[in-house]
Amino acid sequence: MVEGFNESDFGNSTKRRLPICFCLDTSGSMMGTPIKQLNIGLTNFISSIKSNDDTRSATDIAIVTFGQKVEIVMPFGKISRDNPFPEITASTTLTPIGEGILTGLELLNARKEGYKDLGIKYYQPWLVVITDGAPQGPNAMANMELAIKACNEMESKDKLVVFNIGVGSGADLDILKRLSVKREEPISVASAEFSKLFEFLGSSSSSVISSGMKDDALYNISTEPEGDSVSVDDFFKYLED
Amino acid sequence: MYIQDLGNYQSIILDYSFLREFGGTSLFTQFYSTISSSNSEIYVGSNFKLFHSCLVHQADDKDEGTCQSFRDLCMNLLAAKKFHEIAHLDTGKFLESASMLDNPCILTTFSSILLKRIIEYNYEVLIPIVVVNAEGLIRYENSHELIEANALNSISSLAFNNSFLDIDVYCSVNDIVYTANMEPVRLEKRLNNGAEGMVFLTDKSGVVAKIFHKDIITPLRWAKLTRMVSMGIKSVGICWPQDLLFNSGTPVGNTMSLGKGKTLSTVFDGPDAIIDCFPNWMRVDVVDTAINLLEKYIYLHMHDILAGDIQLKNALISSSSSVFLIDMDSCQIGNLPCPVGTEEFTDTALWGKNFAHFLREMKNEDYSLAMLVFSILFCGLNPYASRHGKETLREEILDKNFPYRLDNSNNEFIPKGGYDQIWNYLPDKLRTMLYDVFKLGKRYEDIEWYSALLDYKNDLISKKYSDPEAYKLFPKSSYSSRSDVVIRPRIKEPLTFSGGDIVSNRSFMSSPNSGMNQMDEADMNSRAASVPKYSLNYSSQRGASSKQEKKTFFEQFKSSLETRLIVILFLIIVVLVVIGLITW
Repeated sequence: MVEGFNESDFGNSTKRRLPICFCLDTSGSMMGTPIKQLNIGLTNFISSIKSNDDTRSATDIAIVTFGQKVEIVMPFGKISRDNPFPEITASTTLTPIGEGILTGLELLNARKEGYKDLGIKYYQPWLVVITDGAPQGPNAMANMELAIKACNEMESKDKLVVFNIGVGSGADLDILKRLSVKREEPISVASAEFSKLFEFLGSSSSSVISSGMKDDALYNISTEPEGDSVSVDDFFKYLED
Repeated sequence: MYIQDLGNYQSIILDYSFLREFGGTSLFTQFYSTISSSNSEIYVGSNFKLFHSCLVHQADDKDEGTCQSFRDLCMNLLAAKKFHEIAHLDTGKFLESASMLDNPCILTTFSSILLKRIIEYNYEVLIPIVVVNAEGLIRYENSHELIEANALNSISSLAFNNSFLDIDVYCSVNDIVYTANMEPVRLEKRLNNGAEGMVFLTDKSGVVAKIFHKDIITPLRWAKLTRMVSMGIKSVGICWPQDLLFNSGTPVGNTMSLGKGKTLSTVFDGPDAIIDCFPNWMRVDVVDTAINLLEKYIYLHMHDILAGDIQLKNALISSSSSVFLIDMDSCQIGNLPCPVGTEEFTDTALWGKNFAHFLREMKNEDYSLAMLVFSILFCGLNPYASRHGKETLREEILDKNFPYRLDNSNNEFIPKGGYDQIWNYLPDKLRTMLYDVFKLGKRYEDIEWYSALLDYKNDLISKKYSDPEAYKLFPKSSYSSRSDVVIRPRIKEPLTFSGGDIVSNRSFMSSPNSGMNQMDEADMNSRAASVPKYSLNYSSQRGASSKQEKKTFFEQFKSSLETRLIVILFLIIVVLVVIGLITW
């Protein structure tokens, strides 16, 4: 299913790469507003990555969709300003999440092999799974179990960062939760919040690349500043002391 | 102890820090009178002239006194044959040689790099060390006494204060904020919105304002900014905080000089990026960039500042001779730590620690500078990037899995892209230094990197290498074809900083094998004379070579067109003459 890699797809940037594979649900329930929001969010994400000096050549993106079948919408090394990803559509009733994830992991592993062969350094890959349902279709549960096992093995050895994201109330959060051994609860969002979700993914990738944020921090997101807020008077008192 | 007491010493080992801090002051004048009227001889290390070169190139007005004193000292003491060089850059070897002099003492200051290295490495120096500060002179019998009395800085307690200022003011375009002297600063166009704050152009030319976001101003940050502003560093290439900014009496940010260009991480990002930004670059430009950066970092070290978070994105570049250090407010000053850093550029000994909770040492900074030198010379590559390597870069670094060999015996693990050729064409000295650091874990001092790069640059300028590939940005690789196409002659501006001297590294150098060297007037004169020539020769050489050897396609076409026009005109005249003759 996964194609061999071409040296030219890796570019000649010397930056340490962050491979990110999106596994996106394109089952029937995503039709309409959710898929539209997903496309907008993903477009904004890629555009912000490409306009940031730090992340432009460091972030490596692939997109896999799972619906009627599993499809590699965009393999690694193909997205550029001139070549945006094609619009993602939803149309069927099947949800082969497991197959989608296994395909994503295959892509990530192949990409890592490519990096190793060329001498390109990389951050541990991200697998971003976004679904609004539960596994459906022939062998869907068996494949999902395989996918969970593979993700858990890699994640526990710090070889993968998993973002397990459930959309709306229909997402099977119990099975999504099992995808990660490090994240206490799956990330739950409403489809209207896709823009915030992708903003968060964008800023997280930028933090990893620019500020050396550790992978573990990606599992424990806190927007609250550490420490105590103090008044101007108290502040200057500290300085005098 | 009084400055006049120095006259009792036969050999005074003068550390550059004394000249930097007290040059141009009455204390220096007293020092100078003392040594002029006594039998004392002055000894300096090979780093003396290099430090001065770094200082002069920063063109900071506050250093004018230092430059004047340097000139006086060199001119008069050289004429009197009382000025000698201890030809070592390495602090350990320098101290060893200095200890063997007759009745010696080391004259230095508390902010000195030398002093820091003595304390940090616990060097045993069994000769007196005289430390000068504003209050007077303190004499230590030996390094044991010095170290006992002056342990390395202990970290400020502010580093552990995790409170932050509760600001409820919001600054935007057209707002006016005030400096500590109540000088108004109008915020004009917003340049960027980063993680810590926003940067605005201001109504003052060449000055930008950084306004911090809520929750960002901690006591450590403000204490550091206050100290930075008081230091008064105004070098153009160092975007140093100039004034603190307040809004209704509440701290909101600071002004700083405006840097220009792209971040180094954008330019030094492999062949496409670097050629795209600087299509005419040759290897000498890469070396020049590294030299210019190192000069700035060494200049900071002279002021008891460690940059700490050294990495390619913390500098801007608009040309190889125009680089700017940015994000300076993170640096370590005295006992105020640098709270940030990346694993890639940081000494492995510091990994896993909270950067905010300890003070970095010179040797940590030396490692980061080695990383910087490698990254620049290899156009952005990490020294531990290797083929078929370990799963993580962390493992590669910890294993010192440096894929380059001194004997070029195995290039299999060097990343693809022509980097093996960059390594092959580096001078032996730099190859050895890089190998020692990244494979063997040795450390070289900041000034040693600077010296090695100056030597490399001189080799390239003086056309030492017979193989033309040695001059290419990417030797023996197709990327360099664009460098071949157009080479514009570059005119290097002569230095105009008042009160400054450029010290040519080459002419100042004595035999590297001898321990001490008498510096004579001829040496000094040749140095003085060599400076402008050095610049002019450089530009004229480049210009000549570009005209003779590297004509552009357009120039070739133009010259061939001119030749053709002359021939056609000549033929027309001949035909007209013949027709005229026939008619006649």
